[in-house]
This record gives sequence, structure tokens and C-alpha cells, in this order.
Amino acid sequence: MYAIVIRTLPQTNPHLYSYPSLLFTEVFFERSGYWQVLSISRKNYLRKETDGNPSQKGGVVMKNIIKIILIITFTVILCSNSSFAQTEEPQYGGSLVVAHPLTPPHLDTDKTTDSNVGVIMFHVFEGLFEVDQSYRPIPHLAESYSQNEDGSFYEFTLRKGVSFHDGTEMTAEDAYASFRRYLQNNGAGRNIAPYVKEIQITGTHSFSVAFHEPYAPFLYFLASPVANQKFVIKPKSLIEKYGDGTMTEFIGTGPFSFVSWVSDQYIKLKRFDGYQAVTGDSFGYSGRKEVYVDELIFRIVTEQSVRVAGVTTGEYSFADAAPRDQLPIFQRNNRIQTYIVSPYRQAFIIVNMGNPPFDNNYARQALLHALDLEELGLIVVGDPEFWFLNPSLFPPGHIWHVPHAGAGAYNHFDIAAANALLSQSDYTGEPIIILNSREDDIESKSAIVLKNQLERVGFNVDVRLYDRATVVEQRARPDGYHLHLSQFFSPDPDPQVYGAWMGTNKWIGQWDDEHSRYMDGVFEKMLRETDYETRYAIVESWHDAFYEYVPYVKLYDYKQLRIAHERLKGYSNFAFPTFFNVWLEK
Amino acid sequence: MKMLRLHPYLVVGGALVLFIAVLAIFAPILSTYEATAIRPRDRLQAPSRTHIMGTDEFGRDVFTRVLYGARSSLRIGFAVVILTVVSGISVGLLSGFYPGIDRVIMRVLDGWMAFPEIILAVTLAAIWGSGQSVLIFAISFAYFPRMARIVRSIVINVKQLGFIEAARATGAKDVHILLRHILPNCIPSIIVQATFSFAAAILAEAALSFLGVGIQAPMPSLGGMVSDARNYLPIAPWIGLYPGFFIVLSVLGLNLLGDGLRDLLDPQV
Amino acid sequence: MTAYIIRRILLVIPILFIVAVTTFFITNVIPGDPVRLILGDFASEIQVAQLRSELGWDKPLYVRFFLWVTRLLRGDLGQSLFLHVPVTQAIYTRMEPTIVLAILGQTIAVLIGIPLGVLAASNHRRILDQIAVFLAIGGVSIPSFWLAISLMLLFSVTLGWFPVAGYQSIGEAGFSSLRYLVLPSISIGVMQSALLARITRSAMLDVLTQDYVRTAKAKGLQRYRILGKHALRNASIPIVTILGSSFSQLLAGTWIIETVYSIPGTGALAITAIMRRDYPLIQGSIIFIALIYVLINLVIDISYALLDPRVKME
Repeated sequence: MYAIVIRTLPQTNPHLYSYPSLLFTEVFFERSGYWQVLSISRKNYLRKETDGNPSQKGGVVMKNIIKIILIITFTVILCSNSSFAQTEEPQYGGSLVVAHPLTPPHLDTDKTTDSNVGVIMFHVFEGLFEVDQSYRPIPHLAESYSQNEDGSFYEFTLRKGVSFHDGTEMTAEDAYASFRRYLQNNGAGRNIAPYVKEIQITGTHSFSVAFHEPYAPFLYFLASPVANQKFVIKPKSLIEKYGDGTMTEFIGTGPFSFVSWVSDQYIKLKRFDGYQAVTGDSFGYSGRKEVYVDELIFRIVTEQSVRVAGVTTGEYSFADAAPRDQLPIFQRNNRIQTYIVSPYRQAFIIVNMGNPPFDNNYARQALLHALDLEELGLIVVGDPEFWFLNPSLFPPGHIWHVPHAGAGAYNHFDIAAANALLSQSDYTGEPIIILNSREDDIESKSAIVLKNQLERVGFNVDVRLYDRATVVEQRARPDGYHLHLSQFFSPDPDPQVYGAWMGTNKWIGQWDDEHSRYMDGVFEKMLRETDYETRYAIVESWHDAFYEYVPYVKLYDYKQLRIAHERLKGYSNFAFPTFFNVWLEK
Repeated sequence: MKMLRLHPYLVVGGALVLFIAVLAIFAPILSTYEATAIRPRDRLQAPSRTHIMGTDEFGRDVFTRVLYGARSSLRIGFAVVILTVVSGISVGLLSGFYPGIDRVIMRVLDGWMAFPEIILAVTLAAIWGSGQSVLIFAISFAYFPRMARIVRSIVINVKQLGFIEAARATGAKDVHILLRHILPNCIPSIIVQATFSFAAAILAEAALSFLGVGIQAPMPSLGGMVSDARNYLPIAPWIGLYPGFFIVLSVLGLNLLGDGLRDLLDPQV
Repeated sequence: MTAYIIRRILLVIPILFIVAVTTFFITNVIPGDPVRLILGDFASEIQVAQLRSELGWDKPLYVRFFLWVTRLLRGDLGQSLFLHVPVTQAIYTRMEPTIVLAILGQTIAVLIGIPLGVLAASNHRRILDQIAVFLAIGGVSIPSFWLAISLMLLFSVTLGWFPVAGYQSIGEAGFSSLRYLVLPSISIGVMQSALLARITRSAMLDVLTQDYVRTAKAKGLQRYRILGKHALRNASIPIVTILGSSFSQLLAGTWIIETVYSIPGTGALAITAIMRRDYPLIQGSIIFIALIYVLINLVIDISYALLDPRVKME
């Protein structure tokens, strides 16, 4: 018997802003007392994400009706599909092998922004905060926290009785040492550091952070699952041993402990029996994290075809980045389960504004109007099920989503307009270098389609696809490229993250004029503003500036396809694959 | 018919090479499509009357791309042959003829050949950036010592023949002996070797493109097409099948031709 | 004789020196930046500069060359940037699969190639000969990556007889680790056996036209005895030479096969090192491969000299 429960999650921790009422609905199936969240990977469900903006109060009623209809339709499909309806008791044991596409450079999450490292190591390390379903920070290793009125002072109390993998108990000493190392080494930590006035240990399990002035995005950075920005706690002894050097020993508080790493081959983790799970709802890295498997092995398999074949034969239990074009084949195969991840990433063109022709805004506007985003999505990502157009820098459903951004600019494919704008610029026909990595499927395909589209309006394009090592070097040079395609993770915790990428001489844009300084000003305002409504207005003005000055071109949001062998049970989808609460059927 | 019975490899190989060459040369006439034209609505179409080899993940016509890919394979192979033969002949002649120079040159070539050739080519492609001319130089650079050594050993053999002694006795100059007497006698063997290195160059080009250091996309190359097709094999095998088949055909043709030529020009072996 | 051998051994030194110097300068002109790869996409310029100086790359080229050569002379190739172990150790741990693969591939090549070559030679200019030669030429004409992918699709994915890819060391999995190497060694074996068949055929043809074989024939010896006892034995010198030099190439790493089947061997190691610009590892791999090549050639040359005293005259 199945019972359908539609739950509206209560709004937890209204700590920083007074959010507009958000409605998050999940489908729960009950059988013999066990609850399982089902990962939904059907078209009906996916449409849900594109049909509007939850932060708009007017649309909520209509949205709910649509949602209920969708859920009922979905349930009918589910119940008619017997293979889907089997929910069972979790089984302990076994070793879960994940086919992982890339070798991490090292495993010290504070020493790289490569998310490839976090995907593995956030099974070992845990954050002081983690994000919940709505990507808001909730305490994880922290038990509670308090802050002063204007957000310039925070005090954190750690959970008691949490032990590291070496058996020692986590205390404020460890958190303090980890936080200092975080500020000096971590990409996000280094952004925060200049604003920090003082860190103090205030008890055996509590510490405080004081800022010079209000610092709005603080907790969002601490909990961020993106680009290893998250603040995780490591033992003080380890930090004293390695200092600011790259760690080669890994001791955390997570439900998995580190066993061994053979570079280019595998990373082996095992269940940590002393793990103290919290009781909240499981989502991504937050909430209850139970481990049923004995071992978790990330095997490095660089060939996509091999990852797919390995999941088909059961050699691997799970593979990320499966070919989207093969979805129909996977769906016909009973041994494979498919998961579509959304929100996943957004595709951008990074524009080099330090050089002609794109130091000229007419040329950038011409670029904007030359793009046929539909064609780009259809070829690069494939089936429209896997991508959607979204003018905002945040996905629909996110508190910072701006639905009407870029009106008249985004997805305004118009060859005549682009031609006219281009002739107003001082472009003289010099070749536009599109520099990208040939190893990345999305990047290399986009470059080829982009060449076709830009040449239609009169640009002269030179596609250069190199290996990543060359690309990262070239694009850091002022004259190394004109256009570069990149993808950012959609579940960014806070608009402030873009402050490190978009502005005067930020990241690789070479942008330095009065507009870039205007952009800096927008981010500065955002930094201090702690009231949601006021800050949302700033975010809107940031979107306006984004479409007026075109430092990047937003293309589309796309989804990721993941596949698992039929034996893997209990997997629930998140932007980054997590292997808590999953088990292998014997 | 008699030719076919006497020299089967020569005839079959020659026919294959001719077939591929004709397809490649007349590519613009044989196909009405553009090799790089993108059509999103025609992605991954199975072979049909409009696209006899189907379409790829960009909706491009595979037949057209195979023709243009064969074109660039042949062009690269040919350029590599010219480069290696010219440099191989000059170094090989000098080295085979003058024992003094030979010592030095052979040591350098030994060191050169100790470099793994494909790694050398990959490294060179990384230094110069990928592209057609880079590919040609990288492959030639890697294969040149082999050709030089072969020419050298032929020269050493020819040098010992009686008529060279005779020419020298009449007071002919070294240059004269090298160019008028030794070189013509080396040519049959060089032609045979050139055919084989043509085949090797096409394979090397395919392997480098497979690794991604070959011709820049969107220009087609046979090895690059096979490489790109890997992720589409289960749903669109034709994308990789035909270019793979064309690599085999052209290499097979050249190798057969080489064997046939050897039988014809150098019947002792 | 001893003088020849000593001279031959001494000649190895300048060759290795040329290789080492070239390697150092080549790796220093390859564009690309491993530091940015290590630090990730959004690393700041300060972080990049910091890691550079930690690695000692802010020193001038000649200083780095001098330091590198002094360490090299002590047998120290440095530390791999991505593997976090000394380069010598990285190469050493990657040798097992490559050696096993080379032995298996070569065995398959011998089992197919030599009989095929003998068959062709003993039926010279008849239909069997032509079929055998055609097969041999066909074998060298198939791109190895294409063969590898096709075998994997057929035998692993469709039929499920073998693991798709990967490797388990013999110490870890015993003889069942060989299951991982069946398809890769067939992929290597096909190409090698084609080469070997052609060499065997021509060597056999050379011998079969010699007088003593004709005599044996005239004596009325059975055909297979002539082939086995006289011809094959005498044709074995060129065959063994080819086996030796192709074995040295296999030991250098069958990088395409290793890449396609995700086998952690020395060839795949070298290629990933180049792709990631792991400079110490690139240098180490090239020197290692050159060393194997030079040493095997040395052994071949010296054994020639021992077998055939005329060689030292040259």
C-alpha cells in the first residue's frame, strides 16, 4: 500500500532575511513504516521547475494547483511502473564503486576551488553549516548560533560528543584552528578575511567571529557546496602539522573516513562507525546521514563510454556525467536507473573586455543579439528536457531568482540588430578567438556552434580548442582570448559569490572602466545589506547592469544525467552526488 | 587481368588508394552539403537517402565530413611523406656516403629515436598549438630519423657496387656520384618506404586526432571523428563507423600498394 | 671484442645526455600551467604566484636547469605535482600492468604471427600465402583505438565476458587480474602479430631458397621437418630481433590501449603527465622510456657482436 503525503515544509530558521513564503513540496511514499524520498526523473516533474517563480507571491496558488496535478499524474505513472514501486529495508554491507570522471589534483578542500575534490571529500569533512532544500544555511556541526542585530558579530556553539575519525572529540580549538586556516587558504575564506576583525574561543565548544562592518553573505559562504567554499572542521593537530601546506592526511567528522588514495586510480573511503548523525531531513550534505555500505570507492574512469558500460555491467554502481543523448537507451534498460539533476549548471560566455573589439559595448551588445540560444541548447545539450532558458543568474525557485531580467536583451536573436550594433562598434574584422578546453563536451561543442552563429552576423571567428592546462594559462593573459565558455554551478549560495568574478579586473574578464566600477559599487551595497527586500532590489539592479554592460553572456541552464546500477537503492538527487543513506541490494 | 594475377596487392592496393583519392579530390562535387554546416533539427539521423552515412551530433552530414576528413588525412600524409623523404634523403645520403659525418649523425639520430615518437609528437603539438601544419611537422619530426636510417642503409649497400667504384675511378666528383649514380639506385626502395610511411602517417594523424591534438574542430579529420563518436556509439554507431572504415581502407590500400611495389621494383625479397 | 662492448656501452652516455637536456628544455617551453590546474578555476593571481614560488619556478631557467641536473645525477627525478610521490616511485608502481600487458600481447603475437608467417612462406605465391599476407597487412592497417573500442563493445558490454576496463594488480587479485588484460592484450596482439607474420614470412622465404634447404628437400625430408628444423631455426635471428625491439616499444607503454581501457600503466602515465603539464613526471617518463629503448638496443647490439664477429668491424 502506498500513501501519498504532500508535505509543505515549514520555514526553518528565518534568521537573516524575512523571506517571501516559499513552498517546497515533496512526494513521500510509505510502505511498512519506511519513508523514502523518491528521486523523480520524469518529464512531468521537470516541467515544474520552469513554470514560474516561487518567490512571487501572486503565482503561488496557481502553482500549487499545477503542482498537485503534476504530482497526481506522476503518481499514476509510478504506480503503473512496478520496478519503481519497490521500496525495501536498507541492507548493510557491500562496497559501492563510483565511476568518477576526473583525477583530483589533491584532496585538501581548502587548497583548491576544483569542485571535483569536494565531491569526494565532503563525504569525509562536514561543514559548520550545510544548505537545506532551499539552499539556505542550517547548522550542522554547529548546534546553534547567535548574531547581533546588524550581522557584524556571530557566536557559534558546536555540537558536543562529535568525534573525529582519529577518535578525539571536536572542540572549539579545532574549529578555531580550522577557521583561521580557512581564512588564509580557502577561495571563499580569502574573500571573507579582509572583513574579519576578530575570532575568539568563547568556551570549550563555542567561538565567535566579529566583523568590521555588517557582512551579509557570511553564513552562505560557510555553507556553500560550490567550488569548495564551504567551511569544514578538521582537527587542530592536523592543521598544526600541515599549516598552510597541502594536506596529505584526511581526518574529519563525516560518516565516511578516508582509507587510501592511489592517484589516477581510486580513492577509498570506509564507513565511520563512531559517526553521530543529526536528526534533520536528509538533503545533500545536510540532515541525517546514515551509511549502509562498508566502503565507498571513487574509481577514476576518464572515458565516458567506459563509465556507462561499467554501470551497465554492474562493475560500477554509479556514474556522474552520463551522455544525455543516450537517455532513451538507459530508460529501456532495467539494470540502469536514471537521475536528472536540476538545478545543475548555467552556461556563460566570458567576454574579454580588455581588448578590441569587446572593450566596446556595441560589440558586446551585437554578441548578445547574434546568439540563437535555442539552436545552441539543442545542439550542445540535446533534448530540451535537459535545458531551459533562464535570464536570471539564479535558477527558478532560488530566493535570488530574477524572472524578468534581461527583457529585450536575453534570447533576443536578431541578425539585423546584431549587424547594426556591430557596425556601430569599431570592429574591423580581426579574428575573434574562442578559447576552450577540447576535453569538455559542453565547452567544445558550444565553441563550434558559436563560430557558426557569430559568423552569420559578420564576426570573424577562430576556434581554439586546447587541453585544459593550456586553456587555463592562456585565458589568464590579457590577450589570450576574446570569448571563453564556462559553466557555473546553479545552486550558488549567494549573489555575492559573483563579486569575485564580475567587476573591475575580476577573474579573467580584464574589465576596467566606469561600468566595472559601477558593478563594484553594486556588490559593495549587496555586501552590507541584510534586509531581504532591499537586498533583492540590489540584486535586480545587478541583473540590469549585467544586461546593459554584458561582462558575461548568460546562455541557458542545463541539467546533468546520472546513472546508477539497479542494485543501488535510496539515492536522492542533489547538485553534487552524495552517497549517504544509500545501500546496495544483495 | 594478367596484371591482377601477377601483382594482386599492387592492383588491389592501387585501386583502393585511387578510389579514396578520387573521393577526396572531388569532395566538393560529390557532396552538396558543407562539412561544417550545423543543423540542429537533423541531429543524429540514421543513414538515409538524404544523408547516406547519416548525420552527427551537430546535424552535419557524415558522408561529407568523411570525404573532407579523407582529404585532410591524405593531405597530411602526403606532406609528411614529402618532408620525411626530402630530409631523409639528404641526411641519409650524406651519412651513408661519408663515414666521418655518419658517426655524429647516427649518434644524434639514436638519441632522437630514443624519444618515444608519439609522445614526441604530442609534446610538439602541445608546444606549437594544434593545427594542420603543426601536425605535419610533429609527425615528420617523429618519423624522419626512421627514413634517414633506411636511406643510409640503402646508400651503404649501393656504394659497394662496382659501378660506383668505376665512376670514382673516372674522377667524378662526390656530388655527381651521389646525385647521378647513388640516388637513382635508391629511388625504388625509397618509393616503397614512402608508401609505407604514408600509411603510417595517416595512422599517426588518426591517433593524434583521437587524443585531441589533431586538426582543430570544426574542420573534419577521420581520427577526430572516431574520437568524437565514442560517446554516441550506442545510439548513432554510423558517426564513428564510417570514418573508422575509411581509415582502415586508406591505410590498407597504401600498405598493399607498398607490398605490391616492393614485389615489382625489388623482386629479390 | 671486450673493447667493442665497452665502446658500445660508453656510447650510451652521450645519447642519454642528449635526451636529458632536450627533455628539460622541451618541457620548459610547453605552454600550459599546472599551477592553475591544481588551484582550480577561480584561483586568484596571488594564490598562483604563491604556489609557483613554493615549487621554485620563480627562479631563472639556468638555475633550475643546474638544480635539475645535479639532482638527476643522484638519480632523483623530483616529485610529481599531481601524484604527490617521487617520480621514480610513480613510474615503478606503474610498471606492473605495462610489463604484464607487454608479455601477454607479445605471446599472442607469437602464437598467431609466427604460424601465419610460416604458413605463408611455405605456400609461397599460392592462395594461402596471399590470404595470410592480406590478413597481415589488414592487421597493421586497423587503428588500435578503433580495434580496442570495438572489442570492448562486443565482448564486455554486449556479451559481458570480461570487465569493461580498469586493472587490479596481481598482488591484490591474483590471477583473476588477468581478466582485465585479455582484451587489451588481444588489441596489442593483433597489431604485433601482423608485424611478426610479415617478418617471419620474408625471413622464411630467404632461408627456403638457400642451398641446404634444397638439399634437405632433395633428400626427401618431410615438409614440416624442413620447415621446423632447418628453415624456422635459421630464420629465427631476424624474428628475435624484431621481437626484442617491439618488446621495448611495448614496455615504453601502449598508451592508446592503456588510455582506452583505463589501465594504469607507464604509457597512460606519460600521456596524463603531458596533458596536466606535470613537468617532473614528463621528464621522468621520457628519460625512462629512452633508457629502456637504449638498453634493449644495447643488449641486441652486444648479442649480435657475440654471435657474429663481423659486426665489430663496422
